[in-house]
Amino acid sequence: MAAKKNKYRQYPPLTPSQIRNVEPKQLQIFDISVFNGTKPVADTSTGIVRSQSSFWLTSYRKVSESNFTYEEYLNQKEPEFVDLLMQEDFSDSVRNETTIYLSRLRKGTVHKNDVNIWLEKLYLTHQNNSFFIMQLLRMIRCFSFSYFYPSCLTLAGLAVHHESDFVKSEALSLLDHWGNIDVFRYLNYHEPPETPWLRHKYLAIKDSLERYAAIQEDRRNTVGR
Amino acid sequence: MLLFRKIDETRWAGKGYLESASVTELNTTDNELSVWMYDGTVEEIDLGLAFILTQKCFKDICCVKIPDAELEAKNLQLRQENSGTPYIEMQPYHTNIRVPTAKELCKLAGIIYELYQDHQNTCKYFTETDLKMHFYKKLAENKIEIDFKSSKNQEKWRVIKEMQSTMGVIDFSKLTNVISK
Repeated sequence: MAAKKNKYRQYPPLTPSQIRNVEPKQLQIFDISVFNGTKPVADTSTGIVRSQSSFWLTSYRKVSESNFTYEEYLNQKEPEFVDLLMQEDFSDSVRNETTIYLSRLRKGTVHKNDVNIWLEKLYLTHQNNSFFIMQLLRMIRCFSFSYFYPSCLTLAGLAVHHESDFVKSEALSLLDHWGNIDVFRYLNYHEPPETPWLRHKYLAIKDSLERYAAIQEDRRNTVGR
Repeated sequence: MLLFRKIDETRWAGKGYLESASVTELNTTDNELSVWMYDGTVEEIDLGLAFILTQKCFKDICCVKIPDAELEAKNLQLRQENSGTPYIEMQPYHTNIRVPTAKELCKLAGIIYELYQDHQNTCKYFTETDLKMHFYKKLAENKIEIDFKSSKNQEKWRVIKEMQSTMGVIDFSKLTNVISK
C-alpha cells in the first residue's frame, strides 16, 4: 500500500477541470498495472486504451506531442522489453516477468495487431542475434497459439529457416508445442532442414502430427455418425 | 538392456570429443545421473512419459539409448532407485549411473559422444504431441496417480483439457488415482 501511495504522490490525481482540459491524444499509458477493472475507453485515433475515471488519469502521463501513437509507445518500450527478454529464464514457468510485461502492453491497445507487428519488427531488427530469437520463440511458447496468431506462425516459420541450427531447433519445438492443423499444413508445404539431427527432429514431429491429425479425423467421423 | 538418458541435442550436435559444452550437459545429482531402463517389456514412449511427468511443463525430449554392456566395459556402475514419477508402473524402471569423479563423467560423455555420431539409430526423439497423446491415454487407463488440484500440476491439467477437446472427454469419476479439479 505504501508503494502505491508514493506513486500517486508522484503523479497527483487530476482535478475534474484538469480532466476536461486533457485531450485524448495527449495521454499516454504510464503504468497499465494499475488497471483496476474500470471499463477502459478506446481511443481509435491513437490506439491507446484510456479510461474516463480520474483514478485512471492519475496513472497517465501528459505528453506534449499531440500525435503520439501506440506504435511509437511500443517503440519507446523496446529497450526495456529487450532487456527483460534477454535475462528471462523460460525453462520453468509460463508466467514470468516478460510475459506479464507483454500482456500488459497488449492490454493497453485497441489494435491488438500493433503488438504482433511490433514483435515481427523486433525479429527483423535482432535477427542476427541467435540468442534473442531463441528467447523470443520461448516467450511466444508461453502464450496460446491464438494469442499472437498469425504472427506467431510467421515468426516460427521464419525461424525454421534461420542460419543457426539452434534457432531452427527451438522453432521446431515451438511448432510441435502447438501441434495443430495449421502447423501440419506448414510442415507439409516446406522442405525439411538439411542438418541431419534437425531433419530427424523435423520428420519425428511431422510423423507425430500426421498420427494426431488421423486420430482427430477418426473421432470427427465417429462423432458425426 | 538399454538405458535412456535425456540429452540437450544442441550441446552434442556438431561438437568434438569431450567438448566442455557436452560434458557439462550431463548434470549430476549427488554424483549420479538419472536414466530410464528399457528392457523391451514396455514401450519406449512409456519411458519418455515417465520422465516428462516429473517435470513441470510438457516439452519434446531427445534421449540417447546407452547399452548397459558399454557401461560395464568402462566399469561404470548403476544404483537402482525408483522414480517419483506419477506414472506408477514405470517407477521401478528408473536407475542411476554412478559418476563419483570427473573421470567417470568423462567416460560416460565419451560413450554418449560415440553413440551420438549415429544418432538416427541411437537416439529417440519424443515429440510433445506424442507425449501429450500418451499422457491422455494412460490417464484414461487410470495408470497415473495425480492431483490436478495441486498448483504444480496446472500445466498438466491444461494439457488434459486440450487433449479432451480433440480426443474425447474422460470420465474422472472412474479414475481412482486421479483427483480431478
